Amino acid sequence: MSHPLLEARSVRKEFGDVVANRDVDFELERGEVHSILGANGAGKSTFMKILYGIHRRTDGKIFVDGAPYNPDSPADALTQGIGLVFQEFKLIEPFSVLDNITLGLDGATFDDNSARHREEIADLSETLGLGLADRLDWRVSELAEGEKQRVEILKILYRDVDILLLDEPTSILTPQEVDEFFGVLDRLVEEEDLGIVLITHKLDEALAISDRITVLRDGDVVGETTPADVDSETLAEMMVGHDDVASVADHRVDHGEQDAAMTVDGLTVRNARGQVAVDDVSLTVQDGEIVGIVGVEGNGQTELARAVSGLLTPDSGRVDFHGTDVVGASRKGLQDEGLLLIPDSHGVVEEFEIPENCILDDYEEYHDNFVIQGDRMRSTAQRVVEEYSVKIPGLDATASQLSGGNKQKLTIGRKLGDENRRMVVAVNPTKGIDVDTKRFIHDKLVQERNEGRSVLLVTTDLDEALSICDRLAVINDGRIVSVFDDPASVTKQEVGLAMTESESR
Amino acid sequence: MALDSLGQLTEIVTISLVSTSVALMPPYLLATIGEIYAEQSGVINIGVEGIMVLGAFLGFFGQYVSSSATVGFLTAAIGGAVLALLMSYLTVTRLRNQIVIGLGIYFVGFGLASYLNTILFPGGTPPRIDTLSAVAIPVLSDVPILGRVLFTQNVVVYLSLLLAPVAAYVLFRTAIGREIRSVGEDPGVADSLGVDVFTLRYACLIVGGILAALAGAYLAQGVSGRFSRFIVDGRGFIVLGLVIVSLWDPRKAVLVVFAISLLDSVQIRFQSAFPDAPIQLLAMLPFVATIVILVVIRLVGSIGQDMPDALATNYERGDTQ
Repeated sequence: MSHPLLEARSVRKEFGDVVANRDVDFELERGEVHSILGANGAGKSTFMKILYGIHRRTDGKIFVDGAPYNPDSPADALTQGIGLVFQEFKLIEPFSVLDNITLGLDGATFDDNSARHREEIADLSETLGLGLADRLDWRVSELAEGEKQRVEILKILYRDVDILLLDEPTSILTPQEVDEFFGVLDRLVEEEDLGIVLITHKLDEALAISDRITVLRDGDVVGETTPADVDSETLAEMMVGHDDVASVADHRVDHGEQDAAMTVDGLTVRNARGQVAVDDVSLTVQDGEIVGIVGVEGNGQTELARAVSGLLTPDSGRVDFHGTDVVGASRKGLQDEGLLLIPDSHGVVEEFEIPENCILDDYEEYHDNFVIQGDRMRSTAQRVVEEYSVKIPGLDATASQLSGGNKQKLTIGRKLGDENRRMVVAVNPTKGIDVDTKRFIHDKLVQERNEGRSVLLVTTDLDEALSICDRLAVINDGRIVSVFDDPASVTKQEVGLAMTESESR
Repeated sequence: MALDSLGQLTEIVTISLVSTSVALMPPYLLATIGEIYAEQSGVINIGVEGIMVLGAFLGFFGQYVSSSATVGFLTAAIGGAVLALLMSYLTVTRLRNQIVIGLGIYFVGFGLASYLNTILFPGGTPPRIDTLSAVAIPVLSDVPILGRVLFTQNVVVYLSLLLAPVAAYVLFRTAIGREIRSVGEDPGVADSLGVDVFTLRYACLIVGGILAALAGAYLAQGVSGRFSRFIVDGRGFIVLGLVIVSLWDPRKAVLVVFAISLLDSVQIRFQSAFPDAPIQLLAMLPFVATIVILVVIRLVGSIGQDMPDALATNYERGDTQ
């Protein structure tokens, strides 16, 4: 009777009151890629960290080759044959590639052990086709992201692991690097007979590379399947748990001809380094309309959003908000006028408790002779948390204890609680957030639109822009290169082309 | 003839000035190398000054009681190790703020030394001990100029000058050095590869404490032959700047320390030549120089990539989300 390489039975993990893994069963054989698919917050990373000895499980059993496995640290997991490549690389940037790989190998001795390993590491890199043999003396900071990832893999495989855990490995790779990376994975399972666990939220990836796929949702295994037995629609439904994956734009409300909420005319903005980031941009956003600005990151969209919301002073041009020129107005002043900004990163103060985070925008209304009115503040927080179903360990928790999606819900709930609001500028509001929360936020933005207010959605997520925008402008190299008045009739390819084509001026 | 003797005089003055500067290097050099070790492991110890004062007293007292310089230095080393152990426990184990604890270490060291001095030598003129005598190195000391400057010094000067390349070798060329630097760059990464973050930080802090105490002891045993609670006179704080100017490299520290010691001896000369000059202004010189050099470095380049990334941050293995 042979045992699976890795076997997890009813693994459970609680953080305070939050159950991250409820009852996870998982199996991995040698020579296979077994993907764990799930939305953000589904418990994938928690499970991975349990396997790697970072978290201790609350309950359940894990076996490696049939023997009980209870790692008490990553170093312990490594010696027992399990290695994890994190989404954010665990490399020491100023060190050479060789030093990163040999770090910690032979204990704290007074000799230079790197030299002894050099040849073997170069050989292993060649065998696995990682192409690092001539880079061993490079500083990691000099490498491209794809190369850094291969350093991570080489570092872990040089420690003789049988099981390789990969946490969202393709998120920082270019499409070409992804292909190379999958080639490496193929070699690892076929030639080295490793077992690979791949964590991802990308359906195509899971379908392309896996032998088996386990879907997690809300800390539970929804099902285990193989790419042959499933298509992406079914997988998406398993992940999200909703039947309707229809676009939100379906229930579009026609407000007829509306007033212009914001008119931007000939706006030119320089970035922090003095380069022209926004180049002569003009656009209009009407009441009752969601206008999307899509573009590849770094094409001036952030500066545009900052300039129209009072965080950057433009070089030239006009920004009219409901008929008044607001160039030079402060963020605070514009907010009082009803122009809200949902910023690019989570708009919370990590160390603050939830109630404090809920009054960040209008704290001055919550004090009484310089003393904060705690009860009022808490009741506001209670309302935001309930209305936006923010998952929290308790009202006194700090924002740092919340997941990314819940921080964003808290931010948006706080912003949209402003009764004087007339327009929302949202920058990548669903970046790095699970599918459920994403839908929720989309619904909220559409609701804003349906109630007659305007939304300027600046996003790098093309699907998001296509599904909820009434009009779509493509920004490329600081200029608006195309405007699509009816996103519903546009193909992704058309917009994608406008986003990526260079020198289209 | 007169011109000739003036030239000779200048030469003699210069040689003796440089020679004095070299003799003044050990306090800065030992403490700087020690602090480089602590900071390369990610812990900043701003209490160096306090450890130096305690070291100065213990060195002085040890030699006074035993009439042996070695016993003096050993006593100081033990005191420095104990204070550094306290610092390690509070920061590395108890995760207390390094700056706050460092400040506490300064007050404890300074206060303890003053207190012990008061109860052990109540009233009267403080006793004197013999200072270390110069040991001329055969042959080398006969080399013109360099012989006087470098090879007719006391044994601590030789040892601390030798320590710099050794410390650099260990830090940059050995497995343990790599582990130390990894702990200072990213303790999480180091820990995940089985590097013992806690032990290395303890060890580096204790090495730093011992060297700082020896640095202080040298001021009493090698320079002044007496103890006063003002003996260290801010050198322990200057060291914090010297570490940055050295870019956390013991080899560069030798040059930086020589420059600051030269200033020190110029200032001492100046004081004896012009007794009416305001000594407070002169005593400011090393501090001003350190600040100026730091500003220049910041303007010319950046210290960012040489500074240990995790400097002044404590490391905790967490089981939180």
